Formats: sequence, C-alpha cells, structure tokens
Amino acid sequence: MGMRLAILTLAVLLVSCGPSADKSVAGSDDLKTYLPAEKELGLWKARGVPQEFRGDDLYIYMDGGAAIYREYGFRQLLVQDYADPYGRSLTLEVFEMDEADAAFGIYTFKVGSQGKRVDLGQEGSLEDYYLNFWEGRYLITLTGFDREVETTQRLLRVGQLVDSRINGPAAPPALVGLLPGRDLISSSVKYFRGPLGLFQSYPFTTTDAFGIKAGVKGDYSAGYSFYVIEYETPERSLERFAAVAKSLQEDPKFKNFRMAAKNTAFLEDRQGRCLGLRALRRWILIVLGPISAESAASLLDDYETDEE
Amino acid sequence: MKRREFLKTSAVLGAVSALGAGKESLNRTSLAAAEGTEVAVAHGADFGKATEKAVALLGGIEKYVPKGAKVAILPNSQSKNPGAHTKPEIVRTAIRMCQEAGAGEIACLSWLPEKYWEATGLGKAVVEGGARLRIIDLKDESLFRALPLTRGKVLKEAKIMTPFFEYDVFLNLPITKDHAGNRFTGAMKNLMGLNSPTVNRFFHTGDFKTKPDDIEHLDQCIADLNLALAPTLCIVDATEFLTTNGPFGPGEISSPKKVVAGVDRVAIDSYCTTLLGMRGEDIVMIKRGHEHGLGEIDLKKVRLREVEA
Repeated sequence: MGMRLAILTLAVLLVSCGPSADKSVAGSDDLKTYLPAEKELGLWKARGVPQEFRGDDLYIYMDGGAAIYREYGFRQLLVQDYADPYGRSLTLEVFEMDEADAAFGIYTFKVGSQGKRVDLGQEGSLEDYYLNFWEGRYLITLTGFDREVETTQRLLRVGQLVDSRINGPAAPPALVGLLPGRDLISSSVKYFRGPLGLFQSYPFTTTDAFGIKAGVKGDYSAGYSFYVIEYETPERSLERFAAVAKSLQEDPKFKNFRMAAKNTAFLEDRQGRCLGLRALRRWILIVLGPISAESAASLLDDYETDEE
Repeated sequence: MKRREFLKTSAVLGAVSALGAGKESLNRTSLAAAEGTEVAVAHGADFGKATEKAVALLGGIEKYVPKGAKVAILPNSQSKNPGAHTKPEIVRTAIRMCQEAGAGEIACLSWLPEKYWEATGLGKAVVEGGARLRIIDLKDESLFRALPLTRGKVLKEAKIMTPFFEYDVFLNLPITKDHAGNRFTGAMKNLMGLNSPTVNRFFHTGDFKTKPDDIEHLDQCIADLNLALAPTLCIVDATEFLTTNGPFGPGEISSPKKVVAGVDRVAIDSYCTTLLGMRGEDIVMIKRGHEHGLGEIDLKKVRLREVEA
C-alpha cells in the first residue's frame, strides 16, 4: 500500500501547492467568464457568438457523442470558434461537469497515450492537432484544424488564457491511488464512472454486468493493464464478481475459463491475452494482458498482500 | 434497364418501406447474396479518384443509378473535427458520377442544421457539385413518417424523414470511425441520419441516461432500423478517421486512405472493423444485422476486391 499511498499523497500535495492553490473550488456558472478577452488574442478573432448547451441539449451539439459525457456527469458546455486572417481556425470547448471527479474522468477518457504533457490546469495533454486539460470541475478542449506551428502555439496560448480564469483546483479521485504504483505508466490512467467508459477501454461485456459506478485502469511497462472497480460493500463486490464471471464464461469470444476460487477467475481472450479477476473487499481487481495465468495470479496475490 | 424495372428489382425502399420494409430489404439482400457479396476497396491519396475506382470495381455507377432516377445521398456531417465527417471530395465525386449516369434530381438529406454542413465543407461540395441540400427541421415531427418494424427486436417503429420517399435511389456515404457507444460506426449506423433524432435518442437509452444494457440496446436498435432502409449502394470513407473519441472527436486519427464500396452493409461494416483493429463479430450491431439477414459478416464468404487509385 505504501507506493499507492505515496502517489495519492503526492497528487494531493501537487494540487494544494500548485499555482492554483488560492483559487476557489466553486467556479462560475457563467462559462463565458472563462473566454479570453479580444485584446488578448492578437490577430485571432472570435468567429460568431458562443454556443451554450445544458444537460440533454448536448445531444443537439454532438448527437451520439453526448452519451459518454452524460455518463461521467455533464452539466453544461460553451463552444467558441476563433479564426485568424490567414484562414486558420480553432474551436474552444469549455465543459462544466458535475464535479471534479467527473472532469478528471472525461479528461482521462479523451486523452491519448501519445499526448505531450503541458502545464495547463491540473493536467494537460497536447496531441497532433488538439489539446485537453482539466481543472476543478471543468474540462477544456481546444481543437486546431491543421498541424501548423502557429496553430499549435495558439492552442496553447488560448489554453493559458482560459486556465488563468478558471477557479477550482482538485485532486484526482482517491481511487486512482489504489492502482499499484510500481511500473505504472502515469499517462495511461483511465477513470470510469459507468459501462460506456469501461467498454471503450476493453469490451469485457456488452451488458453492464459490472454495475460499475467508479473504476480505474492503468497500463504497466510490462505490457499488462490493472483495473480496480469499486463497490459500496464487499458483498456487492462478490455479487458483481459472480455476474461478471458468468457473463465472461458464456461469451464465445473468451476461452479456458476457470474458477480458481470463489472470488477468483482466469480466462483467455481471442488474442491470447490472459484475464485474471478477483473480488477483494469492496473491489473487483482485473489483470489483463499478454501474460500467463500464473503471472496474473501473482499480481493479484501481491496486491492482496500489499493491502494487508 | 428501364427506370420502373430498376426500381422493382433493386428495391430502393422509398415509398415501399411503409408497405413492409423488412421484407423488401431482405429481398434485396437475398439478391445480393445470390450474386455473391462483393466489397470493393480502392486505396490512394486522391480520395475522389479512389471513390471512382471503388465504384468501377462493382460495375460502375450506372449499375445502381438509372437515367432519370432521383438520388438521395446521405453523407455524415456530424462534426467538423478531423476524421469525423465524410470527405467533401468523396461526396463531390459521388454527385458527379450520378450526374454522368444521367440521374435526375440529386439531393443530400439531413436534419442536422446548415452550420454543420458549412463547417465540414460538405455544404459547399453539395451546392458547387450541382446537387440540392435539403435540411429538414429536426424539431418538426410532422416531417418524419412512421414505419412500423414488425421484425424489430427493440425498435418497433422508425420515423424516416418524409422527403426521403421522393427518391428512387439511396446512396449511403458514411465515414467509418470509432464510437464511444459501441466502438464502431459505419454503413449501418449512418442510417440514423435519416431517422428522427427523437427516436434516435431512444437508441442511446430511452430516457437519455446510461442504462445497464446500453451497448446491446443501441446496437439492436441500429440493426432494427436497418430493416426499414436498404441503401442502393454504400460508399464508405475510410481515408482518414477517428480511432479514439468518436464519433465527434477530436481524437487520434488513422489514415488508411481507402474508399470502400458495396451493397451489403453488414459485409462492408465487417470489413471496416478490421481497419480499426477489430472483427465484425466484435461489434454487436454487425452481429445483429447479420442475424436479421441483412448481410454477410464472415469476410471469408465475401468477394473482396482491392485496387490502387
């Protein structure tokens, strides 16, 4: 537990000691207050008026893409386009989520593994033509429509301007600290709040056998992934473990299913990857990757020993 | 072939949908199966040329668009983000091919507001190409016609935009990409673009919130909707597309530079899943479509033809 506790403590310290430490957690309900002022944008100008979407109106903006935001806990969105005189454009999206955990979760959902970390918000990631960062209960997405240096610099500049206006520091959810710390690829962490997010990570089951409300996944340098899915009680965890085991056992895309104990199962997917699952206290733990069942068992045992 | 004969055999659904769409769809698919399912793939950096080559492999646009036919085209204009919408070059080429085949009116149909068409560049491609852009007010339910789906397992009624029934030929022009709901979108899912958005929200759960069986539910609804509508021809943009954060983006992009064409949407979707590192069997929607008899999921049974453009 030592390493996991250290990561969680470090995350909390970073938040409390960072440049945003004096900001209020509340934030503003009027997302337009986060837009850069015209004089700060140089040659770039706002194009059109900001669009705002609340609750289920998100479906009007992004149709089927809205479901994942709703799963994490969406409150409202503001969209503003910008353009420069040379035909370059970018779009700023300010998502206000229900709470900081939701903002962190949708941030982890949206960032790719190849992104470059940038010093924006609690955490930011710059990819080929877009960047994301989260702070408090806000997720900021900036999209350029080319890969020119000027556009990338403008994404970062607009990001800084928005960041300087956003209140609401927060730490990642405590659940993140339950991932084994050793050899964890920090940029790989994904936080889930429902079946869609989990399904995108790996298609365990097309029904919500997990009954997931909160879970976390991290990838490890040895090539496997580790999941911790949290439940209200140990009884609930065991109950869901049984439902998941049954679903996986009946699914033809898996083979070599075996129960190693009442709370532990192993199986293999079509790509030959091993899945090891264990109900432990209030959690379901999963090890998934190109490793042997013995290695998966060893990782689960180590986790259990560490917890004790 | 005369236009009337063409309509009889190719079962472009249009008005016949209301009279038993499922049967008509299956008749068309049976015809395709009897001929052997064929999927054409053209690869190249010139996406317009790739579109032409893919359709040429199938026998040319004249096989699908008779002289004088009214053609409805359905591209994906959902998001201006890279890899999230059908490339304007592909739509422009499809319009031109229809014109060269002697089509009558050619129109792109949509309930997405005009600004989506402007932002994606698709509106310009349609108008400059000489086709009509028909935007249907998504809030006016009277502009959608109810179609009972007797064979639908979850979806019992589709609501298709009424102007669709004025057309003889239906060209389905989706982009294949990632989808946060079911991990994949392509030819089958694109048909939601003709269905009432109010009904579509039921696909993403009845009360707009995530429910335990969401993924199965969404996929079954899409398969059911496909009982009502049978594209005359699908031309799928697999040139550059989202592999994460779909369907809206922004997200990571893959660029196979392929245009995929065919009549069998199940086979096409099954093929396109391979471009996203999956198989048709991995996607519930495709399995359900196959179970409905809408097409072939097993690529070993598909005549796959590829060409450089």
